[in-house]
Amino acid sequence: MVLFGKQKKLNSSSAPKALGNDSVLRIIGDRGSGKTAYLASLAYWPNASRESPVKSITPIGEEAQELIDQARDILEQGLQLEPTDLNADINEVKDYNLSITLKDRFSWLQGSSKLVQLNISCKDYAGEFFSDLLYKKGDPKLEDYLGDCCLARGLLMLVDGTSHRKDNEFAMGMEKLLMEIERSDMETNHRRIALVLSKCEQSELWVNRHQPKKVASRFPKLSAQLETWSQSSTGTVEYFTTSAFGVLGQHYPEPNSMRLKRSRHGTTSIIKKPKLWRPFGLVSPIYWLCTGQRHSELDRD
Amino acid sequence: MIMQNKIDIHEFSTGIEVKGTPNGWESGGFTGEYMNRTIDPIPQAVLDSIANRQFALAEGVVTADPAMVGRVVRGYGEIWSVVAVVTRGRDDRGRGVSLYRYFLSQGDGRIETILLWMGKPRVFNPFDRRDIGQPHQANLSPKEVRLTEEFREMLNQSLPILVPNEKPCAALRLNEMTRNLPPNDDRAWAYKVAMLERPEYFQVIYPADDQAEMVIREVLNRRQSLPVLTSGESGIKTAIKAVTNVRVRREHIETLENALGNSQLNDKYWESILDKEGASQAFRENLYGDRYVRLLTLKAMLIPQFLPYFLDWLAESKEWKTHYATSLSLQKWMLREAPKFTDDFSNLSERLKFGICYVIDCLVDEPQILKQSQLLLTDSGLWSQLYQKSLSKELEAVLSLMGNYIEKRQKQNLQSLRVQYPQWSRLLNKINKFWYPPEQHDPNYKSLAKLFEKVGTARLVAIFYQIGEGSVPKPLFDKLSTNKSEIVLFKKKIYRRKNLGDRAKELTEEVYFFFCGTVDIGGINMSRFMALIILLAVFTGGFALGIIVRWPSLIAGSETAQIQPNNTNNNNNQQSNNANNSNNQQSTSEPTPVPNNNNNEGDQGKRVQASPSPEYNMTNSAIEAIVDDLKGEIELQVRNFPENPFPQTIKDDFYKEKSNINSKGIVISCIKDKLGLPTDFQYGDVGKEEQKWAEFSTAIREYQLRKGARSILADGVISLKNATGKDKGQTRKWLEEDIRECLELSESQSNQPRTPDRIRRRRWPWEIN
Repeated sequence: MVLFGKQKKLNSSSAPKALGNDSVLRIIGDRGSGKTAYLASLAYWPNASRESPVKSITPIGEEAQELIDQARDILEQGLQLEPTDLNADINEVKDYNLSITLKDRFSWLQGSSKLVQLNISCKDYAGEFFSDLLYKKGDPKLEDYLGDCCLARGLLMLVDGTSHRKDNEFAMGMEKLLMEIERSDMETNHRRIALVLSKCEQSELWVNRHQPKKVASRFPKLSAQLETWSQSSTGTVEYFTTSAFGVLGQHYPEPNSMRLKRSRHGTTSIIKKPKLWRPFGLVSPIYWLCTGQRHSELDRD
Repeated sequence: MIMQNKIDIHEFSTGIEVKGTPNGWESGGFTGEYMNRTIDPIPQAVLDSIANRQFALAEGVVTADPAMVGRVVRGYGEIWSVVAVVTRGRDDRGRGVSLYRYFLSQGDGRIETILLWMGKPRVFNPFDRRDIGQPHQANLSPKEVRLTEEFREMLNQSLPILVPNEKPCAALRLNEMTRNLPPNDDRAWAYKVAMLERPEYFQVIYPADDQAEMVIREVLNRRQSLPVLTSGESGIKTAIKAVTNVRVRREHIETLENALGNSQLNDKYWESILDKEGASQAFRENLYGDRYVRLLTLKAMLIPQFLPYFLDWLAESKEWKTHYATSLSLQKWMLREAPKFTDDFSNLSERLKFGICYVIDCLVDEPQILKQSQLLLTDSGLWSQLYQKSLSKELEAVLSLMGNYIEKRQKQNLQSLRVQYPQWSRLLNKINKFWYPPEQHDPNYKSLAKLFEKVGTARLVAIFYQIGEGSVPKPLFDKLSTNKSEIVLFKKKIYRRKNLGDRAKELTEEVYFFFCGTVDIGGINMSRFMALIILLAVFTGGFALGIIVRWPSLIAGSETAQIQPNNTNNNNNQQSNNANNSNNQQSTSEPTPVPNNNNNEGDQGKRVQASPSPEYNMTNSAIEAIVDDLKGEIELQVRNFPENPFPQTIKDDFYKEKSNINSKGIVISCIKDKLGLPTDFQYGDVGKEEQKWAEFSTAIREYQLRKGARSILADGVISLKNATGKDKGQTRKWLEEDIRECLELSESQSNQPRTPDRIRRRRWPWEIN
């Protein structure tokens, strides 16, 4: 190929195998549940473990690069991220694109070191969207957001694990969202919702990090809502525990975070020791949302 | 509104839910709408600028003093002077929030008035309620702001100018600095800022403290290579996002259309803004997610040269059909939003058209994108609509014009055609050679024929099959003409391809016409069938008679031995005759060395001809006649243009001596060219060697077929005009015309002075390329 050959760097044979055809995700959750911090930590991927099945996480485009800037210039400096602005135009909402490369977990069987790739695009809605679901009706902006939300096959519902006193509100918000999703679906598309419990570096959550359903049971109404939905539709739900900041120490772990505020809304904190910053469980829900399969290696510490 | 030296100053603030606290208030979250505003709607240019982060302070950095940003915003036919005062608040989750209070006045140069009116910065206050239509009023009293020499010197620095923190400075002075800079659309300054999200979007920055100065400098160094922001870029970005998210609406298409009309936004700009979304990365790393397919589809719309690359990128995926379906659904969505796309969006349509032209051009050398190109032009997407609606007709029109100009040798017009249709110029440069002799074809063009075949544009299919394969498949040809074997299309002859049936029919006809044809035996003209019967009768009768008469001697076997020497003698006689003939022929052939007969005797591949065949004699006579016909014109041409009378393909040995011009040599050179014979083919050998004659005759027959002779008439012989041969001198006529063309002779040439343009044109037209 004379003309095109000059521009190409990768050919299809050497490229990692892409997993999951539809990798359009939306991350939703209450204000302050840690959505932007989750994405910034994911994009930055600090102090990655050698044993981790995640080989690399590459930002694609300017906005994903901004995530890395936020992680480096704000979180790593022990500062707080500002709340994400509620854009009037849904098209102005930042759409973060990341390419996550994993070592193929079955490669040892095949005697190869083939890589697999998850290419995701994930919109980070302002937390106000979720509360507006409850308290606003017929608002054109909300309708636009709902319409956009329904475009995604995978929804990552992020819930601050320490905000269990708001279970009732979350359950009602989720009920409304599921209703809208059902109305918007022309065809019965298979949709996945990952209920991701964040801020699990907090001691009361960390002890049960490997039993996400148990942590989710702190939100009985929300969990029941999702279970009912998955049983009555073609959708599936799965539970995950994550921590954007991680913990310090292995045998006697303590949160790598300094708590600034704790209320019924949850916990607000900043990183305690940036040099030891290693997030936990961030890729696992994305892998499941993209493939429908749980990757047990990604749930390990 | 301006009233008696007073101007209106509007304002609006970040919209938050205000929650009371024991110490005052906190934010309970954003409302998504601006609050405390005096204007509705807020000018779109200002909204775009805010969305584009042109007022945004970087997160995480807290300063006690309010920061200020001043900027002149343009767009949508309006100019607004805007000052934003930024302070830090807190929300109910304990997070810091940047809160903005914007002041704006219509027109350029109002920033100074706003600052003078404001005095101390008016900071965000959720309880300072404002009513729409009730702006502030300020006196339009310009105040002279003087820049000290120190600040003047700073104006020579590269932008953005970072005013050192240790120098006392006021916002008014920063604004004056921007006014003293060379005129520029973007006038923006930032005052007492800890950090800006986009420091590169400013002209003058005054940092809040030493630490801030260091951080800003570092970030600026890091971002030096970033392209300059363009006004309206936010709208463009939103439109791009809408396209990639399949939420595109008509206004987004309008934004892109208008941006394409801005000559400052060149392909490089589009490339860079699409790269911010990851276009090049997706292309390079073969990321075939739906979003990227849509993003690259948009890139192919905005940058026409990219369309073939996009198709190639698709072709590299095994699931390219699925990906193309994603692209197609975006195209259909856009068509639904803008049903009269081609009428309403001329800039975009033009780009789409150019893209198709690039694809057509690329297909010649890059056939691997054929299937994708076929889908592009057949499925009901944007490109297909454009092609069907106007482009196929345009291409046909351009080919017609090219054919006309070549036929009339209007080189200037041919060049102006390329200027008039730059999108087709590359293709025209490539294909115009096929309109000139010798007849040739290039299999690379088959992919174009297959593309147009799929698209269903019959005339284009035919011409590109002709160019690609030298003939047009019968079913396709029959769509243009059912009862001819050749027709002229775009001033070029195209030939119908023969199928098996045709060949069988031809053979039958040949046999039939062979027997029906006449033959001259002993001055008596009779049909070949008759002659055959007579010959058979004579031969078999004579043989029978011989057996009867010679029976006894044949039985003795002695007569045979006596006859043998006579036969040998006869052969010797024939050989000597042949040698004489050879000498005669040599005198009339090209002045090129003729191989020695003696050397040829040992060559098994070359059988010496016993005597020149009647067909050769007829052909040679016809060639002599052509030479006689053209001799005068050739000599005249040499006299008139002694420097460069003929194309370079004619050796100058033939006309170097003006007193002894070898017209036959010149004519034979042209004939070899027209017959497709190699230049080293020796015509002198044709009368001497059977194999050479066979080769020459075959070339004539192919020439006759190319010229459209029916196969039974294509006899491989050039006959005289009044000859009784099959073609009645037609081949000679064709050749004479072609030789004139080859030598650039014309009927009227001897009477008409050549124009300077024609004189210059001593190169073949395809050498223009």
